[in-house]
This record gives sequence, C-alpha cells and structure tokens, in this order.
Amino acid sequence: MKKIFLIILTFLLFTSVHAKENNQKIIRNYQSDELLEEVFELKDEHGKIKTINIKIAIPEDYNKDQVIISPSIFKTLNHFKRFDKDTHINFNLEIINNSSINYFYKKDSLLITTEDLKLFDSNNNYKTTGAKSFTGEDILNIYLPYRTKNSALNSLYQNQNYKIDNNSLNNVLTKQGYLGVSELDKFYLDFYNTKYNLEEKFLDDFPLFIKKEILEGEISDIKESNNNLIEFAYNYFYSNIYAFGFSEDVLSDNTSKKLSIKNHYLNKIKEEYFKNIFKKIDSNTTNSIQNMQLYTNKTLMTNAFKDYNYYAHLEFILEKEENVLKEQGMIIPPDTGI
Amino acid sequence: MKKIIFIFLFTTIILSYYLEISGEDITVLEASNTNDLSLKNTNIIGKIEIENSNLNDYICQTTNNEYYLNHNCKDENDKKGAIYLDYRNKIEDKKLIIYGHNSKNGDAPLKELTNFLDQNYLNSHKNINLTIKDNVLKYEIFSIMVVSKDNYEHTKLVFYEEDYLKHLNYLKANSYIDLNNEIDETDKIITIQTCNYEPADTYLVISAKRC
Repeated sequence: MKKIFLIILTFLLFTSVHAKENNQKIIRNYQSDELLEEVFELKDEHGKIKTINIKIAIPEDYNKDQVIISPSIFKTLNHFKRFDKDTHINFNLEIINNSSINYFYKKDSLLITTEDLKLFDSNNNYKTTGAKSFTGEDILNIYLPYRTKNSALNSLYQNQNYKIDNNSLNNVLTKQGYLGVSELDKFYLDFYNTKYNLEEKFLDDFPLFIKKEILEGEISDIKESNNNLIEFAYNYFYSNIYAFGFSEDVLSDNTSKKLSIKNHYLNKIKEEYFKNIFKKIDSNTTNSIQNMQLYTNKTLMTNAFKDYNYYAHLEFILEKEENVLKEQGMIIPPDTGI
Repeated sequence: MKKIIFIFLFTTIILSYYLEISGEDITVLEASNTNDLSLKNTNIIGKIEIENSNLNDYICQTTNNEYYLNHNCKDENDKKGAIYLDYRNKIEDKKLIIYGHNSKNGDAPLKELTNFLDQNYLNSHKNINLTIKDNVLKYEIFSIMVVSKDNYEHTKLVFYEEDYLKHLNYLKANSYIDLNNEIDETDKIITIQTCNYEPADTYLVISAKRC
C-alpha cells in the first residue's frame, strides 16, 4: 500500500513540475530610454489616424551589446481609446543608427504578442481573476468582456425581459441542474452542442460562428465573471479579431485569423520574413520597416468587446555585429586591399 | 660580509657568461647568417606556394588579424603586409583561413590570385602547397568565389556536426568557376582571401582541399 502511495506521489510531483515548465510566463523586453522615439500621426479627412510614422534613433555614444526596439506607441494605442474597433492602422518604423557600432537582427527575437496588462493600471487597482491568457499571465479584472444576452440565455429565459447579473443567473442555472454562474460555460457547451448536434468538449472547439454567437447579444453593465468564459473571450479576441501584419500581408476579415496576435505569439509566423527584411543596420545608416499593420476584424467583433482593453506588443532585438558573428563562428574579415 | 659580496659577484659573473652562450642567443646568431626568416621570427608558421607560379612566400600568424595587414614577415612596417593565418586557427584545424593583400596598381603578396579568375590559368595552377614544420601539405582548388565585402560566410571556423559539410557545399556551390572535384566532410581545407576590384568592394576567396 505504501509503495502504491509512493508511486502516485512521485507521479503527481512529476506532473506538477511538468505543468509548471509548460506554463512559463512570457518575457517581454522594453526599449531603453536612451533611444529617442518620435511619432508622427497622419489622419484621414475624418480626423481618424490612418498612418503612424515612428522614428527611433540610437544615440551617438550608444555602445551596448544589444538594442531593444519596442515602439512605445503600441502600448498607448488602445489605452487612450483613440481608435475605433474597425481599425486598420499602418505603421512605418525608421531606425537611425547614430552610434559607431553595426548591429544585426538577433535571431528569434521578434516578438508579437499581447501587452502586459498591469502596465496600464498605474494605481495597481487590478485584481487577478484566476483566468489565464495564452501567454500564461493572469487576465486581470479590469480587462473583462461584457456578458451578453446571447441565444443560449435568451432560450434559458424564454426571451422574456431578464437580467444577467450573477444572482439572476444563479437562480435559473441551479434550476437547470448547474452549480450557477461558475458553470455558465458548461451550460453554453451543452446548449450549443444540442442546438447544433455536436459533441464538443470545450467552447474553444466550436466552429467560429458558434463562438461568435456565444459572445453576441445585448449587453448591460455586467462584465463576465466565469473564468472559463473570460479565457474563452480573450482567446476569441486575440485568435480572430486582433491581427498584425507586415507589408507582404493583406489584412482583411478573411486573413485576420491567420495573422492574429495569438498565432504570431505561439507560432512565430513572421520570423523568417522579418530576418530577411531586417538583417542589419550599420553605423551611421538608417533602416526601416514599412507598412506594418494593426487590424481589427469587423465581422467577428461583438458587443462583448465594447470598451474592451486590448493591446499589442512588438519587439525585436539588435545585437552587436561582432557578437552575432562570433556565435556563428565568423568574423568581420580583414580588409585585404591596398 | 666580504664573503657574501664575493659570492654574489662570482655568481653574477658566472650567470652572465652562461646567458651569453645560451641556446636562444646562439640560434639568433646562426639565423642572422641564413636566409631562412622562419628561424628569426617565431610568428612565421610555414610557407605557401602555388605550383608553376611566382607565389612562394612565408605565412605568419599572430594574435589578431590586423597586425600583418601593415607589417611584413620581418615584423617591419610595410603597407603591403604579409600573408598570414587567421589568429583563431590552429595548424591541425580542418579549415585554415589565410589572408593577404591584393593591390589595384602596385605589387602585393596575393596579387597573383587574381589570375585564378581566368579558367585557363586555373587549369594549370590547381595545386597549392603549404609547408609546415618541414611537411609539405598538398591542396587542390575546388572553389573560386567573388563575394561582397558584407558577406562573412567564408570566415566561418566553428562547426557543429553537419555544419561543416553545409559550409563546404556553400563554398563549392558559390564558385565562380565550376570545378569538377568532389568534396565531403572528411576533407581538410584552406581558404585564402584577398581583395578583388572588379566588381568593386568584393573579396576573392579561393578554397582548396587537402589531397
């Protein structure tokens, strides 16, 4: 008996360690204050920002091994709610190397992901919800979607005038045999499996149109408090709606899933492209990345995301030429000409 | 006290006499009477020769790749520099990289290499000999590349497993002239770099494998 207990304990210990390893938190790097960033916004005839030109200058006396490029404008885009959700913004990034050092793009350093949500709550009023993002971070209580009167709830309340606060929902859900709001996700799973004759185990497994149906409908001032639904909405948003592309990409409602922030983060889909367009920046030269785009999908946007706080993070690292070459077993060849 | 002073003076005289006739000094005296520079300069690690050509010169090596750009093998200031081995190399490495100046107008240690861009010249000058510690190592050219000055691939000296074969294939695949010799990961090679002026801002990089 003791042996069995020991084996089970060892197994549990192993799996918990393993789970921790898989759940390592994302590491973001931020641009040094030594770099000078200038931003120029170009507006259309309605005063809407369409293009942002960013200039980042590496100062003359800069001699560090690395330069982290992470335009701060990305962090402020949604914070000031300056953009509509049906937005397609172009970014042009110009880097001016005034230093005496040649820098190379550091392999695998391009990171396109969500921003660290804590950065935007300077008063530290946020609380964790228990829900986790795909980056392994907490989804904080100040970044929640609205609960919607979707087709499942309309059916539950038989389309009468109803409230969707936790008390009201707890009542009706317990009558249906669920534990209450904590099993609202389970209720949705059962409802849509029945409605569409499916046998899915998770909300994320549903086809896109059902996912959209779950997040559609009238809203009040109630934000979602079921953690599985908070995660579900977060995943839906960053997997389908919010997208990023480079000049070779055509961003549209048809391509936003492929170019979604989540796909960029999990699959590093632009590493090969990026390392070819931005190989290096020599001393006293300029290099630029034209026509980067941030896009939100209009077709898949729902009421759940009204005033939703969302942010993208873009960074890449430049590394001293000689360090990169050394790593690859190469050197800058001697100049053998007279 | 007198005894101590006497012993000290005696020891000093004996020691200075011994140092005067020590091995190192004798070697220097002998070398100064010969034409063999390698006996005078320990930075000289061997000689390079292209058969049937005028190229037959010393190879130096020091702790960097800049010194012999403007010093000759006598360690004198000389803008023509010397032919030298990459400071990262050890003689037993499977790839050795040798550098030397070319010149557009005047004479230079590796000016001869420009001739290799002509197929006829190449056909009769395929063999390079390195003489290191009295051993003559024979090499046969398998690649002649003209590379842009911001291409550093030929300077690669650290290889992990299949990296080396990849590198050999890179050298062969980018050869200016198609040479029909086979190459594999067991081959030891030398790569020789000098400047090239047509097109401007390029290097001429010649690689040869040990026969």
